[in-house]
Amino acid sequence: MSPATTTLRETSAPEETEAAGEELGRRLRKGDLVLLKGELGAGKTTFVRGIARGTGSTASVASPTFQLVRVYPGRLQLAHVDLYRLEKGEELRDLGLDELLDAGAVVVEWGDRLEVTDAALIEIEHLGGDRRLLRTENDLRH
Amino acid sequence: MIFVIDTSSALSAVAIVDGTRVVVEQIDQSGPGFHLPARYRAIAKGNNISKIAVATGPGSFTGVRVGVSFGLGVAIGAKIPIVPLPTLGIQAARSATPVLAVAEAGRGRVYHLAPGGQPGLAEADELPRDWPVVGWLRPQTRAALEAVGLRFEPESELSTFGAAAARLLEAAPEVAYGSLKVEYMQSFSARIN
Repeated sequence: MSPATTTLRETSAPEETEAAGEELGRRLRKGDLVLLKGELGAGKTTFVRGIARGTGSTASVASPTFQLVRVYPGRLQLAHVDLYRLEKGEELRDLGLDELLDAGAVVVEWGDRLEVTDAALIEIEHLGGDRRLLRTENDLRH
Repeated sequence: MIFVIDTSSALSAVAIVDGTRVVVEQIDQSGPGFHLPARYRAIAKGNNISKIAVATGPGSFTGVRVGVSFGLGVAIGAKIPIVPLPTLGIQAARSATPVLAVAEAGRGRVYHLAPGGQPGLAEADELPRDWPVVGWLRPQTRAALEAVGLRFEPESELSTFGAAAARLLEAAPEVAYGSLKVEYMQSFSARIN
């Protein structure tokens, strides 16, 4: 798939959103950066729960809003970052994103707050009820 | 005597220097196995440590924080001064002639400092080739630099870590505990509306 192609996928239950995340997680490699965007309650954390399972992690996944970063060990280390509370650019320094990418893959909620070109970008839209639209604007480059 | 810490690159080092004399120094692979408290206890014992010096980057995110936190902890606890040293400045000071100082940045990149320049972050093929290279890199990063034609200064031509730190410490000022700054450099910036 060309990285520039936008793909759409509709899910109708949290389990389906998680399964879509798991598919992505299985494809992740060290150094991959996945940016997620979507409003509060869109299902970003549910999607990440699937990604973590796809990387072989059995850790429980929760929104890292108050921690900024959670790290899940697995086949591949997955760092789960949330930039919702990011107020100043300098706060990015405290995340050590470069080092997290050196150690594994990184998925970032509110990832559109990150200025970066070489990253996968997925938008999750709440369509009402349990329905979600997953819009992959940039896919992984491999 | 000054206890010197550098945990900011692919190798980590501790040393005790007394003026220009290096009393002891240890250099090993960076990571959890480089146990700073144990090394401090082992080599500081019996030496009258009157000052701490610590490398403040740019370098490994975790490494720099570990070194600075430990250095500050010891300094504050023992009520002795602390002195920040630039990671790349230490490597540059190991050579008597101008060099390109480098430190491991991960993902195939290095922090670098050319003579008279400012620290930067670059991939191997972006580095200036006007000087031989000095610094502690992972084997694959070093190979990448060599592959683009950069030449590393042989270790036999260089001062040791401790000797270089001692030289810098002759002029390096102490700072207040709360003013010690870590030198950050990263490839990301935020887009905040």
